[in-house]
Amino acid sequence: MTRLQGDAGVVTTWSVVVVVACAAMAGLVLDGGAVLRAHSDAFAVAATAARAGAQELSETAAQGGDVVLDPTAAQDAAAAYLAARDATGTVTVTGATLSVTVQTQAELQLLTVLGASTVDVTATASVDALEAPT
Amino acid sequence: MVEVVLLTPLFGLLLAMVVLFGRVQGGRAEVEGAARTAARTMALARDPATAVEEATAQAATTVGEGSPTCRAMTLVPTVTEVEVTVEVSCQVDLAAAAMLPVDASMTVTGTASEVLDAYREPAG
Repeated sequence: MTRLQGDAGVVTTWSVVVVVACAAMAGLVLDGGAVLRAHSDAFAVAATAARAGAQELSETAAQGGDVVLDPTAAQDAAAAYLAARDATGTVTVTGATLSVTVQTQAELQLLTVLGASTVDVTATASVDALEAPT
Repeated sequence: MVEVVLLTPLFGLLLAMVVLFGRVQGGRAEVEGAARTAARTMALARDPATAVEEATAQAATTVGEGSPTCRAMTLVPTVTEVEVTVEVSCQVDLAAAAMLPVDASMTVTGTASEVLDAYREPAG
């Protein structure tokens, strides 16, 4: 075992490690929290847009007793909700199912030292139009 | 080992910063969640205006009113013909981070809106 020349420098190394760890922890709490919030917000907006769109039922199909979405109206209603919230997303209508995918970005404040200033966040929600239970 | 003594305040400050960020982000996440829950509750009610009390109670549970991330909560609902918008605000207690130059509390706000169900049964 090598004998160290006194203890000078040892504590400094330890301090640097601890300070960096503490700063990283603060960064993860702040920016990790921002990413999580952006994700739940994206999902909530997608789900609400999907619910808004799923109200647009096809009248012709409804007359025959079928629950099918009116693709154009449903797409427009969901897109209108997204536009009103300044959200970017895509809307897909298949039969009685409507899916909305929202893309957003979380802004980083501390972890920007790692090179990225934003993190892309995507969330998808889909809604089925159902016949009311009798 | 003198350096450790000198650096202790710095460690304390960094840890206080972690607590501060945690409180603020936690508080924001809670008010946003509470606003969503409240908006959904009101949008599902036959008459949204009558569901304010229920929505407020749910929001208070979601934010855990009285906890450090929400000492006091306010809920402002807005009902229009087609949608419900709810704004929830909370007073976040920052006393635990008092060694940093921050106020003793901070207000965080979350907003959510929900489209009313066009085919819900009418009230009454």
